[in-house]
Amino acid sequence: MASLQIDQLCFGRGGKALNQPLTLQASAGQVWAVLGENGAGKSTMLHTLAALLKPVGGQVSVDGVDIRRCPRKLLARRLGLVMQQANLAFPYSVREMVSAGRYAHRPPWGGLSEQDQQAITEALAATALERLAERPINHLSGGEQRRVAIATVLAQQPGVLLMDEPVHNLDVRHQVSLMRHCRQLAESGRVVMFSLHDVNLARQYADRLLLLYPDGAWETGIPDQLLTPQRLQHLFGVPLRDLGQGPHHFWAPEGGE
Amino acid sequence: MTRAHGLLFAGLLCLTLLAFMLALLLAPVMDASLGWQQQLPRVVAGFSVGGMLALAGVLLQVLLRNPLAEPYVLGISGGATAAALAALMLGLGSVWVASSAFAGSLLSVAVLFLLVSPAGRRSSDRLLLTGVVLAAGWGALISFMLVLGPEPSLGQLLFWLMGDLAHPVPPWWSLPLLGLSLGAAWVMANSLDLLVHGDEQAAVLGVEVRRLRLLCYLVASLLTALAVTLAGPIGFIGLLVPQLMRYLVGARHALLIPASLLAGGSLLVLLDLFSRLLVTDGWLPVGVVTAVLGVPVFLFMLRQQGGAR
Repeated sequence: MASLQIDQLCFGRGGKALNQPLTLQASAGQVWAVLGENGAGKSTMLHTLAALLKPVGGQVSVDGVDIRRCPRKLLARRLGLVMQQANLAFPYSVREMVSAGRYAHRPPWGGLSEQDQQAITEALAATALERLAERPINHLSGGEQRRVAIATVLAQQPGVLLMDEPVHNLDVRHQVSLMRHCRQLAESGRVVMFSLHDVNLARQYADRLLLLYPDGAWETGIPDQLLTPQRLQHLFGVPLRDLGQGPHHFWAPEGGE
Repeated sequence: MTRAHGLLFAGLLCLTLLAFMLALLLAPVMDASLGWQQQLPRVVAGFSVGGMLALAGVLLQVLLRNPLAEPYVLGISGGATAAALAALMLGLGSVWVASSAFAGSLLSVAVLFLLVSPAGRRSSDRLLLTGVVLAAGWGALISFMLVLGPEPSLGQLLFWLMGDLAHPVPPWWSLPLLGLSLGAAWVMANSLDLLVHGDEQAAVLGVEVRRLRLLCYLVASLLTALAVTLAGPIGFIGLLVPQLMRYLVGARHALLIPASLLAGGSLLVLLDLFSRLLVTDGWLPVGVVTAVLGVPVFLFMLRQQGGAR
C-alpha cells in the first residue's frame, strides 16, 4: 500500500523557505487537497515532493524510501505528478503522449507490452479521450490537453499521485468526472494529493486538507472541521461565508450571494 | 511499427539505393574521364554528410525543444567550420581538423545553451536571434582567417566553405561512425520523446535528464563536426528532413531517427547530382542548392510557429 511521509519539510526556491517545517503522513486510500492563495507555495511544494526541486530542509519519503536517494525510474513507478507543458511544436498524437506514462515500466528501447497497452487504454477511458486518441495534441483545446496530461500520469500507475491544479481549464462535467476518478484511485490503495483553488470542490472530494497560509503557517485536518470563516479569511485574505444549509456547506465570497 | 511505416521504410531504402545508382551511373555521362570507382567516395561522403546533418538536426530540435533548431541556422556548423579552417590553415592533419571541428561545434552549442536558457525558458525568437548572431560572429572570424590565409589555397577553401562534396577527404571512416551515432540516438529514442516536452516533465516520468542531455549534446556536436570535416558547412538538411519525416512517420523518435538518416543521406546525394547536372562546365557547390531549398521552408516554418503562438 502506498504512503507519503513528509518530515519537517521546508520548500522554496533559491534556498529561501516559503513555509514553516511541514510534517504529515498521507496513507493509502486518502485524497488530500492543498489550498492556499497564489504564491503560497502549492506548486513549489508539489514539485519538491516529486523531487523536481531540492527541499530547503527536511525529508520526503514514498513507501518508506527517501526520494532523493531513489533513481528517477524507480521513483516514477511510485510517484507521479500531473504537469502541463506538452510541447505543441511537435505533432505527437494523444495516444503517444499518454504512452509516455509507461516509460518507467518499459525497457530502455523497444515497443509497448500488452500490460502497457492496457494501462494506456484504461487511462484514455478514464479521461474520456478514446475518441481523440489518434488526434495530434496541438489540435486539442486547453481542457483536452489538460486531460491528456492527467491521462499520462494515470497510465504511469504510481502509488502516489500528485496533481497541480488538475481542474484548471476543465468544464464542470470533466471536473466532477476527474474528482470521482481520484476517489476511486484512492479506494484502490493509492494516495492522491492535488492543489485546488475551489474550496467547495476540495470539501466535497477530499478527505484531508492541507492549508498553506500566506505567512508560511500550515494546518491539516478533515474538511468540515478545518473550514471555518476565520481560517478561510486568513487563507485567502477575503471573507467567505457558508451559504449552505444544515450539513451541506457552500462557501462563497461575502457580498457575492 | 505499423504496416504503413514498414512500407515507408522499404521506400526509403529503395530511395537510398536509387540515389546511389543514379549518382554512380550518371557520373560518366557528365564527365567521361570519371568511372563509377572515382565517384564512389563522393557519393558515400554525400550520404554520410546528409545522414549526419539530419540526425544532428533531430537531436538539436529535442535539446532546444524547437523544430527550427538546425546546425547551420544556429551557427553550430559555423563554429565547427571556423575551428576546422584554423586547423587547415595551420597545416594540421585530418584528425586534428576533425577534432578542431568537434571543439568548435561543442563551443557553439555551449554558448547557445548559456545564452538562451534564462530560468529554463527557451523562446524561438531568442534562440534564432542568438543563432544568427553566433553564425555572423563565426562568419566574421572565417573571413578574417581567409584574409590572412595563403592565396593559392583560397579558391578551394571558398568552395569548401560553401558546402561542397567535390573534394571530400576519404569518407570510409564516416560510415561506421554514422552507424554508431544511429545506434546511440536510437537507444535514446524513447527518452527523447519525453525530453522534447521539457526537463521536468521528462524527469517526473523517469528520465535521468542531465545524463540524457549531455549524451544528446555530445552526439549532435560530433555529427555536425564530422559533416563539416567531410564537406564544409551544408545548411538546412537538418531542418528540411526531420520536418518532412515528422509528417510521414510521426513525431516518435524510434521511427523518426532512422527515417531522417536515410532520407537525409539520399537527399544530399540526389541534390549533389542535381547541382552537377545543373552546371556542367564548372562547380556548383551542393550547399548553394540546399540553401535555395531550405530558406523558403525555414521562413514558412517560422511564420507557422509565429501563428501558432
